[in-house]
Amino acid sequence: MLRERVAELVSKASGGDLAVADILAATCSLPALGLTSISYLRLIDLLETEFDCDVDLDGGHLDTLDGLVEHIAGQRK
Amino acid sequence: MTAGPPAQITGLTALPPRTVEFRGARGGQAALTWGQQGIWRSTQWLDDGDPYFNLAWTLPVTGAAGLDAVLRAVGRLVERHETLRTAFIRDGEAGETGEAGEDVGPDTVQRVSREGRLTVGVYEAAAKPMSAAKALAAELAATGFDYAAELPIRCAVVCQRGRPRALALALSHLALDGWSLNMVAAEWPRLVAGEDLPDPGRQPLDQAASERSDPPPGGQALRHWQAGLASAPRSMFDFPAREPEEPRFVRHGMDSPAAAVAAEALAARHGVTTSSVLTVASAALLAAVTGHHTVALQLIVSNRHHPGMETMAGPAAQDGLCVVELGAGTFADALRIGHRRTMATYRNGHYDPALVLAAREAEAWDRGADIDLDVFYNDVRQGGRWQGLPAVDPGDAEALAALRSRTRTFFVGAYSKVKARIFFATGPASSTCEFYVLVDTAFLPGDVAGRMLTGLEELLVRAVTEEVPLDRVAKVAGLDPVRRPAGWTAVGPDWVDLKETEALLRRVCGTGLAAVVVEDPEDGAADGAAARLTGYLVTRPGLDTPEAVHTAMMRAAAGRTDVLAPHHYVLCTAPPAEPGGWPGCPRSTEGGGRAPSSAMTLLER
Repeated sequence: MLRERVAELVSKASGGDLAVADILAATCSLPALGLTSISYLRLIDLLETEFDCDVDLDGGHLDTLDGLVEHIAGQRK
Repeated sequence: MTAGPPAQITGLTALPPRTVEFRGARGGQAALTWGQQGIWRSTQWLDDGDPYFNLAWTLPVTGAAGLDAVLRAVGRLVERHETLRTAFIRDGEAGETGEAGEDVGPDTVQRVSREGRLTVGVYEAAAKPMSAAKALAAELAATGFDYAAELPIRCAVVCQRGRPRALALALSHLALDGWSLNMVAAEWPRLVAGEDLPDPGRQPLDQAASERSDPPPGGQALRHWQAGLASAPRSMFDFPAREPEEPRFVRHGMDSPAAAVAAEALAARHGVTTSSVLTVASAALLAAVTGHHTVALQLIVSNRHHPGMETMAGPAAQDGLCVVELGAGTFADALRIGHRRTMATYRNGHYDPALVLAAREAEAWDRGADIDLDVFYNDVRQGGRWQGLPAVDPGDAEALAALRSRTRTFFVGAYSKVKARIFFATGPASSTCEFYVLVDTAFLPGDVAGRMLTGLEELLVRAVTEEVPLDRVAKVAGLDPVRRPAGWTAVGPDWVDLKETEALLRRVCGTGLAAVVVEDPEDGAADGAAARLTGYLVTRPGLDTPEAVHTAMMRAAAGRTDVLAPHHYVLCTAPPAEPGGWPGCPRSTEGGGRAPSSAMTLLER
């Protein structure tokens, strides 16, 4: 569920340019999928608000869907 | 502003100017937004009337719209965006002055006029109305704005056979930034068509209120700045200065489809953005030339990802601090680290400039030198990406080499005054890497700007097919590292001219009785602790505490990138018999002299 929800937020942050199904199916990083810098920053804000967590961009592995999901899951424990 | 004198542009005939009356939803006055403060500070740094920050711009008029429809559209544009009817005025007494003597603006306010008039020139073009409008826009932008008394917009309609074909504009950068221009460009045809557009939402007056809410935004960005300042070199230009060329600042440009194709390939391979690739490549080139492992750059941050700021017309961009530790690995390693640093920078670009200035002063006081951050990178591509690049397989070395035959480098201009020691920029072209480098020839020869451009292309293309160790970047890029004569030494991330530092301490003492020595970290100090400078001097009235000496040293060292105030001062009662005998002299007092500065007090509030 978390993975699907994060993918929805990625799509929302991209202004609908990226489809949820494509985000879930991607094996590449989010920038490689076409997420621009500004959309990525929007995404981080959305994630922090929705999951009440801190996303430290220096933390690494935050440029893939699964990296973000893992990071959020780790913060919610 | 009136429409000005008849344009001296070939093929343009001036017709009687028209007056557009406007009446917006409200007027008002507020403090400057943080974005406005940034541009305001830059404009104040230039001479009055300098048009450097003016934007010349042209919008096409398509369809069958008549002159009245175009003039109505101009009026509605000014009505819907308060920034286009905003003046910047001194409110009451003169404001405080900053480090360079400029007005730092706490007493400068934005004042929005609810209503007013704009005189619009009208011209008939014999041919090529868009080209004529571009020339006209440049002419309109050639004169500086009177920010207090003039609307920040000048415009003229260019017609052909009586039908409007283009709008020539000159805009103050205090009114619009690149993002806002794109917004206006998207609105323009709809306004000309008479469409009712939704209210734009946030205006700079609202933004100013939001930035003064309790608690104010920007806390995380301030912490980002403080951490970055602590790890940044105090200057990337801590090496001997040279006789500057005339004019002092030189800018070169490059148009390289090959660099764009290579940057795209690297971005895809390493899961980063092309903006990060270009930022890290710029940092690597600068590090290679200046002999640093850590590079501090200021990135121009649009700040448009913040809720509400996306639709605001007005300057929102601020400088963000990006400190990249390049280390001893490869360029590919640096891309992965540097991408995270650039994203963190773009995320932390919205802050109260007064607090960041205070953080910078506090770090300077602690470090013992002004923190010079005059290294910039700006990416003005729309959406931060290219579109329509040549379909060349970057893995095909021959094809990439062939593409390089299309690379063009060119001289852009030379300027007498620019607030940067080096400025990297990616231009707006969408189907090629349009890249610029400006250098301060008081530190680097002017031809380094051009060599950095070809070096950037070489580095990117090479990195597609092989690993490039960072310690080979200078060789790969064909750049010569600066040479520091004997007597220069590394102290933490900073290079210091010990002889000049000692000479400065002697001048501060006024007696010549002083010495500066490098001391290794004390036993038990943390791993990686840097050597420290100890200054020995003979105490005298007025210079009898470490705090007094440090204050005097900081004042004397202002603006210099070759000296560093000692970390520790030893005040002796008498000089030694031998030059090397200072450590054994009888001491009256000693210490770091870093009592909390006023900047620290501000930060603790």
